[in-house]
Amino acid sequence: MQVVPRPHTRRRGAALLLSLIAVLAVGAISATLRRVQTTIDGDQRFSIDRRAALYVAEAGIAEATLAISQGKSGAMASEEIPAAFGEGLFWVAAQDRPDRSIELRCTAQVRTAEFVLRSIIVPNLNPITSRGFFGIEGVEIGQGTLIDAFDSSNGSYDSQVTATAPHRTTGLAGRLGTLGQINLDGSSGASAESTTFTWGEWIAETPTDEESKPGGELQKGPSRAPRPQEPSPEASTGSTVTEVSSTTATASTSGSTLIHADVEGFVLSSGDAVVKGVIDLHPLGFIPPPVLRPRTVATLNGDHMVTGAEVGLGFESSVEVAGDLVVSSGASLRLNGPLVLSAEALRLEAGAQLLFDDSAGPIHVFLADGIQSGPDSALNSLAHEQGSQGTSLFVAPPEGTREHATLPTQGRFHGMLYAPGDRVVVPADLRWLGAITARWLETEPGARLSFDAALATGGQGAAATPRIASWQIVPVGDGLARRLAIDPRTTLRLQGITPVPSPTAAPETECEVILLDDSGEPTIFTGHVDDLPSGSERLMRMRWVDTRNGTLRPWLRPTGADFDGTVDAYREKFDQIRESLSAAQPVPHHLDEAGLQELSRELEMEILLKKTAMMDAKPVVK
Amino acid sequence: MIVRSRRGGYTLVEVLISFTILVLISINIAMVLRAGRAAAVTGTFAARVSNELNQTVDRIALALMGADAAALDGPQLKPLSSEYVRFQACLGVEESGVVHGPVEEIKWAPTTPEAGRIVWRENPSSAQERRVVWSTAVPSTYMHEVPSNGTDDNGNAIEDEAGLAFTMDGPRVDIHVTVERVGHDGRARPMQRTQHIFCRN
Repeated sequence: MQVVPRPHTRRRGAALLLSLIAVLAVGAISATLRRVQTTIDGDQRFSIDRRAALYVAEAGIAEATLAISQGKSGAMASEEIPAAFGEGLFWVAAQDRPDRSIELRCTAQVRTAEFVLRSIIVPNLNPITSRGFFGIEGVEIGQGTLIDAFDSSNGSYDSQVTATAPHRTTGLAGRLGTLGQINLDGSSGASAESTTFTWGEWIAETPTDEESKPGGELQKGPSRAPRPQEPSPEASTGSTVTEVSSTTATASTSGSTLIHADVEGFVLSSGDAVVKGVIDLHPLGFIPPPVLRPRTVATLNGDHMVTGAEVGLGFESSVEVAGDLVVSSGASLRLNGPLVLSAEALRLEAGAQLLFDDSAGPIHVFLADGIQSGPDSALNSLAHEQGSQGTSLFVAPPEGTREHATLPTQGRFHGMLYAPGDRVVVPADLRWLGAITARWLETEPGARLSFDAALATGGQGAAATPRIASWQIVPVGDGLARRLAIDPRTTLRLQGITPVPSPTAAPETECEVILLDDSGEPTIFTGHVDDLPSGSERLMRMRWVDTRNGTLRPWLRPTGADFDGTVDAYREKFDQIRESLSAAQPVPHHLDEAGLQELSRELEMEILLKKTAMMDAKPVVK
Repeated sequence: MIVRSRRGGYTLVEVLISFTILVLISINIAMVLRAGRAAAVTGTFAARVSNELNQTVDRIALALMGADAAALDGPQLKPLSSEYVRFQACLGVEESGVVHGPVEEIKWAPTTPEAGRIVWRENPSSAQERRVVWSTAVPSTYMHEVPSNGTDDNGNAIEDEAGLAFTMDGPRVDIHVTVERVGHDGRARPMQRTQHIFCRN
């Protein structure tokens, strides 16, 4: 037997090697494609998340603005424990500014994007008093009139005076405005003739002190049109100086001048005016708020005549005089706050005196038929300016023809006057601290007006809402938004931190409230806001404890007034809802639509719910 | 006893059959790869164009959101439109009043008669001018719009709008952008987007 050795064939594994190379190649191609797709997905996801983060940031600003309208600081949550809104998180840092505005910085994070917004909020801007001395159709400033400003929250006017010669003044820029024309060195008491300039000429170049020649008219730039009339030499009284200082909508202490005017208006001057600072022309619109009659508790039929020295009207702190309120010659009437007074007309006969004391509470006076004052009549505010709670006079526009409002000829008044239908002339001997808005505002020569910056926010008779003065995107990271490596909600979850709900993100909870109890006496409540008694008739002021530093925030005056009993109606509805829900039995099982409709009938929700389009289509209640 | 050894190798038939099968499989794989590659290229291309369009519109929108509405120049009421917008951003409020940033301009600048680019300029026509090109593929006319015929061809209530168009409706500013790029197959692929914004200042 011959054995032939079998040739030994080695298994080289070439096929395995080839297949391995093929697998690697396919794997590499797949990884490349996956990488490209992931990059594209990432860019698209970041684009979406960035937009969502912008919206969450705007929501944070809105929440902070709401908190500011309630008198809080505007700070919301914190970076360590942010607030939750939708699928994102946000927190807001707030900083008080010297001009009473608040700077907000909101950081929002949504999945892979972070967005930061910055906004400056002017809190509870009163649309009337924030304009200072405002003539809707025009302003005429008499020769020698001085308009300046002070802040009653910092003290009295006298405590803020910095100069006594040639005029006693705080040196702070006042606030003067109009939608029509401004006539400096008005013709009241003067024989000066006016020189007319067109609006375009006025804004072509800003006039400076060098351009006003002594005894001459205010000069304009080289692009001016020929003046229609040259002023007569008698118009130049070199010893008379009129100082008019105005400012921007944000209270300025730099002395810059701003005169609000529409593009059709123009500035007139006989040449005796000295305008300090820069005239910054910034036309703004103004829609006069309506003058509404406030709700009162008691009513006094017919005219009420004051013949002696009366204190109050002998009634509750809320009274309507169905006729005129007349203060006879030589008599005096003192009105103490808190007080809501409504009357047809206020008539001060010769030598009559009207006194306001708002140290204990605000005074709100509504006059349907104007103010008429006789010679030597007086108007005085008794409360210290810093302790004043606010006196507001509202004169409704005339429905027919009547005489324009005439102010008392002398006195010292601290408060505001709103007469959008009247021509108001401020006498030279009536010292006015506060604000005036009238259809046409005029001052007698030598009048003294001082704008109170503290009246610009809050107040009565007009809705004072926060206003956004500035809004901007704060660039972060490499651009407008920053990429986040990990979803911030995931990070918080891993740290065991629960974000706070957005509606409760404001840290302020302790407050101090001055309210009017059922007896009409002011009482002070201090404590947690949830413990605030709900049965009080009226809330006069409140302030919060700032949790950032433990100090008290500025007082917040309630805005507007309950003109039609709306607040009581809402309270009544809320009580009905509460009763219905308290009496309802808990439902142990899940309800379908039919079951919900059946339950809603038992709750009698029809009168309580506002109808929506869906409810109109399928009425829930028979 | 003779133990016959087997010779290594394959018969011709086996090789031919396996080769045929290999070719068929390779052809299928190639077809799948080609289709996948084409789809990937098309998808990637579309995503790129979409990204470019979204980034451009977002940049314009975010720039205009912070602008002062009272100082906005350019946008027209429909059916008119503008190829540019000039504005100033509001930087904040100081004692003297609102502080504005430098004048900025976003406009469509032609590179050829049919196409152009979107250019952002700061302090335009001045020595301190800065400029950035935000998109290089913006045609001279909006998507589906026939130029210079005085009619609204694409149903958006705007007549003869360009690849970059600004319109306004009350306080709202509308941004209309078309981006058009040529694909790998040589065909132009336009994309359009309209964004509504309100100036916050």
